[in-house]
Amino acid sequence: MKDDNQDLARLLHNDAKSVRELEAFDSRLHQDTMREISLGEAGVNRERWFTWSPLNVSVTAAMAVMACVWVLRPGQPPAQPGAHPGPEIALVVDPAPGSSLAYRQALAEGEDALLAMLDRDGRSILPRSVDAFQSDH
Amino acid sequence: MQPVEQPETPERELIGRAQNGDVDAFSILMEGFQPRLLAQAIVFCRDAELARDLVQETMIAAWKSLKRFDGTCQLFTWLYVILQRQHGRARGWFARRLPSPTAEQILAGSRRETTAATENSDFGADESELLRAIVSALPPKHREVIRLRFYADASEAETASALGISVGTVKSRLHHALKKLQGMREKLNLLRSEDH
Repeated sequence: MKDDNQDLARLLHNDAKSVRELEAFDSRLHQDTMREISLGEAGVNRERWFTWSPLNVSVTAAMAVMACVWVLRPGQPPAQPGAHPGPEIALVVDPAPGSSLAYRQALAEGEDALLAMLDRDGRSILPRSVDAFQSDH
Repeated sequence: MQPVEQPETPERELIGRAQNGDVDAFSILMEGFQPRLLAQAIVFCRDAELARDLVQETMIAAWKSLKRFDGTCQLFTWLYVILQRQHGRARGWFARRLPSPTAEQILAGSRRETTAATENSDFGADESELLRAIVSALPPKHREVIRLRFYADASEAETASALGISVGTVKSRLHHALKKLQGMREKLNLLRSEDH
């Protein structure tokens, strides 16, 4: 078996020798290849702002996951499209001065409150020069 | 693994410059290696145009990964591994998974090749074609070590380094590859004697 292997090894060496006889420099192939490499280098330099390295891909993926976690974090109400936070609706309405509602509310608080409101409204309606409650008589 | 003992030569200096991005240095290097790569590619492809394409792809791939060359084997051995892998890739997914040809298919293929081949070589063209055909029919891991060891003239240590396996694995693969080759040769010789 060892002799057989040696015989085979000799045949392989002889064939390898015959392959070497085929060696010849192909200048066109060399020029074409080097042009391809140079063009590729120019392209790589232009597009080097992002390379698909494992590190870059991992960092980008981690940032995307963090962004998703932030948006979908628990305790946040789901976003409702079209719902804008407008001014809060006033549940307690102050009645307009001089309105019947104002006087009714004042009456509900007591007679004194109603008289004070009538006095205040009378002053604001009458001109400042007139002392409504001071009679010349 | 220790780097292969290489004298301080222009080649080593050129490798260093090329690894730092010097395209001209790489061009000078490839001027020296291209004839050897092309001759091997012609054996792989059996077609001059396909061989030229294969060498071009190999040189481009070598340029792109040259920084990974660590000097633990000869540069040609490293280039030869790239050549083999580019050839495997070029054959495509389907072709790589086809079953190995039978002895009868190898013999028929070899006959077709030798009709076009020259008969002037010391080593008969018929025998040569047959041998290359049975090497091609080996499983990839066995084919790789046979080609590196005999056709690229790499040592066992270099072969191990270039393939990223241990020297023991190289020895074991070589042993099995030679055994398989021997078995195929015997079967082919038997078929040939039956023909005559």
